[in-house]
Amino acid sequence: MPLSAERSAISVLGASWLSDSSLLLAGVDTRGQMAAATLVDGGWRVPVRWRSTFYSAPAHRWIAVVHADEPVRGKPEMRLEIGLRVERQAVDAGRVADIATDLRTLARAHLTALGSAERRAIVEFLAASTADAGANRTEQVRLSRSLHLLREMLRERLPLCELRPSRVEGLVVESLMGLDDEAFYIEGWLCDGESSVVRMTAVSPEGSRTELLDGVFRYPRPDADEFFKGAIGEIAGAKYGFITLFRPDTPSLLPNGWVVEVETASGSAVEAPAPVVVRDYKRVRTELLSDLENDSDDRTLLRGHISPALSALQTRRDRGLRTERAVQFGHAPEHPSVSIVVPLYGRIDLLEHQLAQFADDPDLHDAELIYILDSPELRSELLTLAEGLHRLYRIPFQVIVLSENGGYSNANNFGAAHARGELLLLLNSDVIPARHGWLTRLSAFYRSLDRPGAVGPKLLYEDDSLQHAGLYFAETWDRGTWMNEHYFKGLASDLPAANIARRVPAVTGACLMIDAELYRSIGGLSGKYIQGDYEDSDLCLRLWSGGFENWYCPEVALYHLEGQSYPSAARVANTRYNRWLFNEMWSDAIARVMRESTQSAEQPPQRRNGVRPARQARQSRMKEVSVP
Amino acid sequence: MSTRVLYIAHNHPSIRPGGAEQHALELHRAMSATPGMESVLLTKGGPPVGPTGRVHEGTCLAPVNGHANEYFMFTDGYTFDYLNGTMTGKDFYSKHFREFLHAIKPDVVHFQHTLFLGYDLIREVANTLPNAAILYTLHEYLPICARDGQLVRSANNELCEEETPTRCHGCFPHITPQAFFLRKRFIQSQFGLVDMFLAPSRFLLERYVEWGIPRHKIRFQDYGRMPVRRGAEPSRQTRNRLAFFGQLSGYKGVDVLLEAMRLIQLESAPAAAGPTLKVHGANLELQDGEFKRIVARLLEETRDSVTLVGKYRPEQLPALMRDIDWVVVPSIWWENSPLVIQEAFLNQRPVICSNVGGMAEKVTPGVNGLHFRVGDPASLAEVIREAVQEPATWDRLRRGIPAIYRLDDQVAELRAIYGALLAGGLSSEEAYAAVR
Repeated sequence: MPLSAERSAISVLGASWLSDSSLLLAGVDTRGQMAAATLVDGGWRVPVRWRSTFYSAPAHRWIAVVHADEPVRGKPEMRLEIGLRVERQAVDAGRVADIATDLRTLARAHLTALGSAERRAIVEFLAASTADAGANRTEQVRLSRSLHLLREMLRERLPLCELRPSRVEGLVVESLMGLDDEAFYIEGWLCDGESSVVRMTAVSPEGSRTELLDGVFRYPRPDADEFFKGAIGEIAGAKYGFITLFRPDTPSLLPNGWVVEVETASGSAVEAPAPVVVRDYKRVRTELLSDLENDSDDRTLLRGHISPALSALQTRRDRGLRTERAVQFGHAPEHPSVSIVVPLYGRIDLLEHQLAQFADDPDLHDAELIYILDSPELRSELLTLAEGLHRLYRIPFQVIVLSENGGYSNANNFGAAHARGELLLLLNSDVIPARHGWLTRLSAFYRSLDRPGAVGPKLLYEDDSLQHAGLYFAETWDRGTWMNEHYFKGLASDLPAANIARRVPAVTGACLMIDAELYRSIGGLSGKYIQGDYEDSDLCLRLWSGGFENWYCPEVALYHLEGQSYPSAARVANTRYNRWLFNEMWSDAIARVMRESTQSAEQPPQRRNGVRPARQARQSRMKEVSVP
Repeated sequence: MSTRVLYIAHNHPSIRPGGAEQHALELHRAMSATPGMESVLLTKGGPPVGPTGRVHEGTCLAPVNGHANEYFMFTDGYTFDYLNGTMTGKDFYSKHFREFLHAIKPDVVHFQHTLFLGYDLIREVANTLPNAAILYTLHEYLPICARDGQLVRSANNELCEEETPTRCHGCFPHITPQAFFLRKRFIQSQFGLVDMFLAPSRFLLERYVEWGIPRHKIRFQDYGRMPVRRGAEPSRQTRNRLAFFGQLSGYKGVDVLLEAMRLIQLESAPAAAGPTLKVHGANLELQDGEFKRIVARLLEETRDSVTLVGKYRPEQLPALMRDIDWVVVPSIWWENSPLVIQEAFLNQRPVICSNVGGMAEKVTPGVNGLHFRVGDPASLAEVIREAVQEPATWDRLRRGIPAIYRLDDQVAELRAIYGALLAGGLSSEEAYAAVR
C-alpha cells in the first residue's frame, strides 16, 4: 500500500528484490515529478544506479530498477526515497523491509494484467537495466534469474513449433553456444515452405530480443530435405540449415531459457526453445571448427561467423588465464644470459629425459630454465616429479602452473613474462640436445648477427635424419594460400645444402632463440591460433616486417622427437582454420618473402596446380574413338 | 687405512640362483677376506622376482639373513620403469639410497647390476660421494637391448646385429622409436658418470664400444672363479654323456638341444647305445606356455636318452660334471662369458657350443671344444655325432682346455684398478694402462 498519502502525486505501489543488490519498484507519478529512486541506510545514502520507464496505460504508472554495488538486502533500517524533480526534495517511501514483497506478487498485482505491447516493453526495459548491475557475478546471476521469472510471467508466448512432415514449416534450434556473456552462436534448421520467414528473433532468458535474419548463414541439410520430401518433393538448392553469430544488446548469463521466435509473411508465428547454452571452451571450439565443413566456397561462414566466434572464445579464455603457482627448485642464476622456456602439455615424462641431458652440461647451470604446465590437472604429479628430479639432477629450474589450459602461445608468453635472461629460447619438451655446449654455441651465433630476429638450429629425428633445417612457405594447390614446410625434411643430416648457415624465411618454434626484449616488444606469440600451428611462422613474419632477419644455424644440432601422429578430424579442422587465419594476415607478404629468400635454388620446384598441360595430339586421337 | 668397496647387484642368490648374482656374492666375500679391503654387498630384495620383503616401517634396508655386510634394498611400494631402467619414485635414490651411502661411506662403488633398481643409482653415488670411484661390470646387453638384454629379435629369434630406434620399435611395436631413442640417451647420461666399465668378454666389449661407451673407459676382465679340487679322471671306453647346465629358457637354447637329441635318436638303430643327455637346470615353470609345451613334448619323445635332472646347487657341480663327458651350451643369444663354460673347463670337460658371440670367443673349435651353427638342431646333431664317435676326440679336446681366470687374481687386479682410480687420473690413459 502506498505510504506517503500526503504526497500522493508520487507513490510506490510495490517493491521487490531482484537480487540482494537490485530492487524493482512499481509506482504512480501523476505530475511527472519523479527524478530518482534511492536507498538510505541509517541516514547514509547508498550509491545506486537507477532507471525508470512509464508505460502507457494505465496512465502515470512507472516501474524502476535500482542497482547498488554491494548487497544491501536484509538491512532492517534501509529506507527508500524518491527524489523529486521539482523542489529538489525527496519523498520518503518507507522502510524497504515493510514495502517489499516477492516478485510474483508484485508482477501479478501490477504487471501481468497489462496489454501485450506494454508487457513486451517492460521485459525489454528490465533486460536493458542489467547494464546498471554491479560486478559481483553471483549477484548478476541472481538478477538474471529474477528477470527470467518476470519474462516468463509477462511475455506473450507463441505456439510451440510442431514438426510434421506434411506441414512445410518448422524451426528446430539444435545448439546454442555462449562464447562469452555477450556473443552467442546458434545453429539449427528452418523450413519456410508455406510462407517466407520475415522475422527470426532470439529471446534471451533475461528478456532481451535480437533479430537474427540479417546475416544468418544458410546451408543445405539433407536430413531436413528428407523429412519434407513427402510434402514438397526435392527443392534443388534448398538450404534449411542456419548458423549465425549474434550479439544481444545486453549480456545473458543463464544456461536455460533461450527461445527463438519465427514469423512468416502469412502472419503465423511460432517459437522453439533452444537447448542449454554450451560454454565449455573445448566443446565450443570443437563444434565451431567442425562447422567449417558446412561453409560455402567463398568462406562466408568462416569469415562472418566462425572466425569472430573463435576470437571471442579465445579472448574470454585468455582473460581468465593467470599463473596459479610458480615454484623454484634450487637457486636460479643471478644474471642468466639465456632463459629457456618449455611448455608441458598432456605429458610430463619428458621432463626427466630433458633434465638427464641438461644435468652434466655446464651451460645449463648458467641458464634460467622455466617449465610451464599447460595441463593444470597434472599439477600435483608434476610438482612431485619435479621435486624428485631436482634432488637427483641438481639443476635449478622453475615450474609455473597455469590456471587452465591456455594453449601453446599463452604458455610460452607466460614463461617469457617470468624470464630474466637477455636471450629467450623457446623449446619443446620433446627436444633433446645432441652434445654439451649447444646453448653457448647457439647464443654466440645469435650475438654474431647484425639484426637477428629468430634463430633456429638444426633439428634431427631419432634416426638422425633432418627434422628441421629452416622453414619456408610453399603455395598449396589453392593459389595464394601458403603453408609451412621444412627444408630437406627427412634427408640425411650431413646433406651439404642443409649445413650452410643462412637467412631463412622462418624457423620452427620447437627450438627458437630470440632476444627477450624483442620478443616482449613484439607481443610474443599470437594467441589467435588454435592449439598450436603457425604461431612460429607468424612470429617470424612479424620480425621480418620489423626489419629483423631470421637465421638457420646448422652447427648446433638437437633432436626433435616429433612422433608420427595420424591427425584426428579435430586436428585437421584446427589446421585448416589456422592456415586460413595465417594466410588472411600474411599471404601477400609471404609472396615477397619467398622472392627475397636467398636460397631459391634450394627450394623444391613449384608445380602450378600439379597439372601438366594437355597434349593436343592425344586429345585429337581420342575424338576418333567411338565410345561404346 | 683400508679401502671400502660397495658391490651392488640386482638379486641375492639366496632368493633366486643366477650366474651374475652368484659371482657378485663370491667377489664380495673374496674381497672381504682380503687384507686392506672391506666389502659391502647391496642387492635388491622384493618384487619382482623376490617375494615382498620389507617388514620395517620407514626403511628400505635390511641385512641379509645372518651375513655381515650384506644388505637387501627393498623395492616394495616403488614402481620400476623397465624400459628406461629407473624407479618412478625418485626418493628411492635421493632419500633411501643416499642415506645408505652416507652410512656405509664406500670409497669404491662397483655396480654389478642395476636391473629393477635403476641407473639413477649411479647418479646418486656421483651426487653423494663425489670422490668415490665408480665401476660397472656389464653382464649382458640390457642397456642396449630391451628384450631382456639378449640382442635377439622378437620376430623369429634371430640374432640382432645392430640396434637403432626403428629396429627396436620393430621388436616392440607398441613402443615408439622416439621412446627407444630416449631410453638410450637416458642410460648414456647416467653411464657418463661411470669411471670404468668391465666387460667379461671381448665380444661384449666391442658391442658396447659400438653402442657408445668410449673405448678408453671399458676394459676386458673375465669372471674370476674359485679353483675346483679334482680327483683323478677315471678312464672310459666311450665319451658320449652330454649335459646341459643352466636356466631352462628359450634363450639358453635347451629346445634346440632336445630337438638335436631327437634327431639323433631317429637315426640311430633302436637299442643302440647312443649319446645320452642330462638336463640340469631350473625355472622351466617361469617360461611362457608355448615354450613349456615344446620342451615337455621333446622330453617325452627323447625319454630314452634324455633325463631331466632338475635344479642343482653350485657346490654340486664337480660331482655332477664327473658323471658326464661333454657340456653343451646351445644358447641362441650372443652370450657374454658364460659361467657354465668356465665351470666346464674348471672340471676338465670340453664344450660344444653355438658359433657366435661370447661362446665362440671362449671355446676354440678343435682345441677345447666344438662349434655348431647357432639355433640349428641338425647342425648340433651332426657335431654331437662327430664328438662321441671316437673317445680320442674327447681326450684331445680335454688336453686343450685352458686355465681359468682365478678369483684371487681377479681380486688382486680389481684392487689395483680401484687404487689407480682413487689415486686420481679418473680419466687418464696411464691409470688404466698401469693396471695391466
